[in-house]
Amino acid sequence: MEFLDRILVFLVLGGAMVFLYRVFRRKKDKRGCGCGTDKCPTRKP
Amino acid sequence: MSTQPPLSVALIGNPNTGKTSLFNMLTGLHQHVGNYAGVTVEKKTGTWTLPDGGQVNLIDLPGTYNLNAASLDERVAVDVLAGHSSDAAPPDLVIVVVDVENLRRNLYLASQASELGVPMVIALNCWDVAERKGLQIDSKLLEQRLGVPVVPTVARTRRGTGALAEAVTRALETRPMLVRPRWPEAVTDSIADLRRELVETRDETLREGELQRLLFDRRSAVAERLKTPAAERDALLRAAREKLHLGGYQPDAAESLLRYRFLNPLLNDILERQAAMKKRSTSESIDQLLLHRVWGLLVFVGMMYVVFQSVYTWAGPLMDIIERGVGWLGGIAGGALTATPILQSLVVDGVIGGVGAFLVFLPQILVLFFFIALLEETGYMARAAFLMDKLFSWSGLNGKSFVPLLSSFACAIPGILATRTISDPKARCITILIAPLMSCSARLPVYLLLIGAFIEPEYGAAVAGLTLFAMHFIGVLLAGPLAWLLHRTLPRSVASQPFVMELPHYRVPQLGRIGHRLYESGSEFIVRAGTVICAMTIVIWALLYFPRPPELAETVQATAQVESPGISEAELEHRLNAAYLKQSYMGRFGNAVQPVFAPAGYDWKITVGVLASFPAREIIISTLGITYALGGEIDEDSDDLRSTLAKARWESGPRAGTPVFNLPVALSIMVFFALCMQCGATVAVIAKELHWGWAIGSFAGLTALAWVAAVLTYQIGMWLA
Repeated sequence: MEFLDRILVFLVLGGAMVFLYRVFRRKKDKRGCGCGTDKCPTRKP
Repeated sequence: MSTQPPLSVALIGNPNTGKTSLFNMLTGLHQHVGNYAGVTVEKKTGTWTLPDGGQVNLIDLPGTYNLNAASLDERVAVDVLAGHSSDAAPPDLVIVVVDVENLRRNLYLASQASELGVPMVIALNCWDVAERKGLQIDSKLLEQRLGVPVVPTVARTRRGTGALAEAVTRALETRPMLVRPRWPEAVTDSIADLRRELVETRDETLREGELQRLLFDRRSAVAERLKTPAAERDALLRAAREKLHLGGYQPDAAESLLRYRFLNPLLNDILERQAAMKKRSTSESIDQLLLHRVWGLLVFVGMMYVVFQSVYTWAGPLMDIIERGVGWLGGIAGGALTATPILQSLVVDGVIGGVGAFLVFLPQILVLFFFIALLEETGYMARAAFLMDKLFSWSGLNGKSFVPLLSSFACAIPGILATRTISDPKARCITILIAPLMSCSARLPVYLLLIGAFIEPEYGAAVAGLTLFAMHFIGVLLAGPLAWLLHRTLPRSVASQPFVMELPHYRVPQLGRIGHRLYESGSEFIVRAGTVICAMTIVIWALLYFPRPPELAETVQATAQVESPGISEAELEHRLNAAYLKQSYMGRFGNAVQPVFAPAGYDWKITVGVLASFPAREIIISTLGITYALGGEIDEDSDDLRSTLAKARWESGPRAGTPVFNLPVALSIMVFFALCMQCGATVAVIAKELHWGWAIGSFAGLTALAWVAAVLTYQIGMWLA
């Protein structure tokens, strides 16, 4: 059970970090005003 | 088989003529609309389905009074119209949105646009206001005179949009062109010279309208696009303007003189004002009071006081419901995850404790946004900008700075983008640098938490509202001297322009539009809580939870049994949690940096909250929520963060056992958040709009200013206490 506990926490934490990376990385289509909202439709200023 | 790209139609017009309202009505989109100039600073595109089933790309362009393109937003409009935009095809048709009350001035822009050779339809917007004011315009006669379809519309109520769609459908086939002035010989000769030198000799691609811009405008966006070397180009332009001057026309004034000389006879008997117009309108009567230099400011302060005070008196019951809901959810999740204690802590202390603490403020934020939307809808916000202009003219700020600064109260990013309307580069730079001092909505949860915990319980809702108002005003107060200082130190650019703003008429607010604004801000808050805030909260939880060395439990247990032999199990667990928290990654970091914030009265937990909030301010709420939850300081009596903070005590040092949070500490934290630029997105936008040097300098400067102000607040507060 302890192993399962650690694995689940690792997955949630990893998922959060991947999500933050996807939100704040430099977008190829130059979208995202910098507000941090995922799939921000505004063009980069 | 090749598919033809869809036709594109551009909406142009003077600022605040209702272009975006019309754009929203025609496309079904919900772009932000404001009844003051400068809300649209970038082009926006949507799909419009015409009555024949065909679809066109509709482009909403920033408002502009002419095509001189002195500011960045005007340049966007001119680039699209002239076909020089990198990501928008030249429009197949232009709809010029005209405010019927200012027909002559609005048609000046239409006349300039016609020189670019684009077919045109004119929408006579705000027709209802004109009718109420007794203005009579013969739209059919105007149509005959101008040579293009003229359609009366009321963008707010969809009136006339069907007729506009039909007119556009027909015009896309017939391509009607607006009548153009017959220019005198001095103008045609100068333009012929420019055409010969630039188009025929140097192979530049320029339309008739662009050649006119080169001739008439002292600083022209068209000139900057030419391939011809700058020195050669400037000599040619000087020669052409000199020729115009010799022909009897002052180059800077020639265009307006000649165009109005052409437009006046076309409009003379079309626009009739009835006798009723001579009376003072209701809006003008109200403005006598609201724009008065003394009474106007008093009404403004009074109105803001009522708004901020209402935030505390109206939102309480809803906040209690959310708090109970969060507590209930935490209980359910905690019970279900007892077998996996680390995951239980992540879900209960991290996600539910952190995000829940943030979500509690939704009702208060909605109440505030309701009043702001109400004031904007009635037309009062434009007056507020006008009053502020009077108040701050001494600081050397350009009058156009006030709309961007007003927008920054919602969020600094659109505010900084809105500075593109400012043509003076120095004034624009100063406005961008002081925009982060305007109290954005992300600061609101921080104020609400601390005022709710330390001011409202002791001094009541009235003082709480006053404090919230003061926190919103402190940035404005410091922005004035800062702007003055920058104005004195930065090199002078072009002459500053006076503030010209058309005040909208007062009107009864549309509840539907206010409801939509509330829905947008509420859903944005919830989505942000469920995505970015939630993900950051999980990472912060991990930094506050790990590492957990097993030997620490033994050490704490042994120490406790030596120091207090009869220690209860609950007290032992509390001590263990506190020890784990203190040696976590974030705990060690907070303890190392705490001496920097000690003069402001912060303990290491507040320091951790402040440091974690540098990417986004509101993170302090969830960070404090997790810190106190992991430290075992949230119990049945303090199931909300506010009461937990009130009970927090110093763990060690000279102040051990005394409350961590008192009034000076709470005020010091609020002042720090009011002034510090804790927003990664704002730093990035300043870098893109100005330069990385400015962004870093502004970040460092505002952080230092915030620290000094926070220390002063705490020290003075403690001295007075």
